[in-house]
Amino acid sequence: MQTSGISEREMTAAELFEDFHGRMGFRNKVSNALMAIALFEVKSRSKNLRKYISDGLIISKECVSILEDITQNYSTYRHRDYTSKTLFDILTNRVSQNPDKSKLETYKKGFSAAEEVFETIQAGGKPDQEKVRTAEQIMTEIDQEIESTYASEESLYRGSFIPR
Amino acid sequence: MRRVYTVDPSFQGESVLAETIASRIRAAVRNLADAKEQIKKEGIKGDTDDSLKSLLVGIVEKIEAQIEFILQEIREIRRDEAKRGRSDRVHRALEGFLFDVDLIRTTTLQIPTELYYLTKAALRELGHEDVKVVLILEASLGTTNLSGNLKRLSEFFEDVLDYIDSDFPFYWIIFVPPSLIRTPLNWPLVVHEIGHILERQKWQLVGKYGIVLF
Repeated sequence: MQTSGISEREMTAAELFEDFHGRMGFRNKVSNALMAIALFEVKSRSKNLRKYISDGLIISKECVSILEDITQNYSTYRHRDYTSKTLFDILTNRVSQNPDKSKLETYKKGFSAAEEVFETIQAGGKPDQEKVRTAEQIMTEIDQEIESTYASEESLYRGSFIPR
Repeated sequence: MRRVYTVDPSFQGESVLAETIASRIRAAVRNLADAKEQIKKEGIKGDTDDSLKSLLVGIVEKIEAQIEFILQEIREIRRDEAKRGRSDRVHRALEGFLFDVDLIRTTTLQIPTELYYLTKAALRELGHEDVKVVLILEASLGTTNLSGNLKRLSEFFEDVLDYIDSDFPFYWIIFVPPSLIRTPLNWPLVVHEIGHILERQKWQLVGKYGIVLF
């Protein structure tokens, strides 16, 4: 995995491979979080629901913690894994060390609401509807932001790794 | 030659959207099933103990077993936009997995058998024959844990995650550039990559003693 701000074009094959899969993994977990909400609302009996709720909780907690770190130390912030790299890239638009403060606050509120929603669902309770919508909104928005921030990377990956 | 399925002609009795989603995802799974049969029949170069074949075939079989549950969940979603979003992610994950399978199957063919012997001999001499490694041709030298990367693609399939964790928590890829293949005097660089692998899977000296590996 590469340092924030360094173009994927400068990555080695191993870094590019990890970057692509890391992005897929993050987005897949976000998709599972959205599925947890959708299936909970229709009272689904899916055997996967437990995992989706757990994924939603894990990703929300992780993002809250990362966003808090960024708030405290944004000028010297260094990512620690793929999730933190992605969030920092999205907040800085990959051009500076200064995150978009209003976006940072929106994300913190969104992921905190999501954390509360998944905790309540996991405990068998009924989550606040407004917070459910906020959770849904933040997960959808983060997925779209990843898509647009790394728009060129997927084709770069596929262009670099061509089954011959 | 693999057949590429785009629509499932046998599918009937659902809304157009549900039908399109199911058809697209089932087609992706059938492509994977074809790749699985190809691997079963032809094997993978350098995979002398068939462990890589077992890993990839096992994953595809588990995806095949779970895909109808995944489709049922998509049917249960109320909003069409959310249905589309979910099906797109599942489809991309399946395509990503197929891409990896094809990448492994084809690029291993270009690795000289002697380089595999060197890799296995190095692991044996170091007392770590149990370490699983596949060599694939790519632009630059490096290594990564294939198992960890495949897990990221498999977040929708809990059985796949359990299978990788229990049977193949580590399966390493060493990316080998063409320049290295053409210059056998540089082949010991692959042993250097084995050093990184052993550090990550067995030794963890960096964390313990703050040693820096290059």
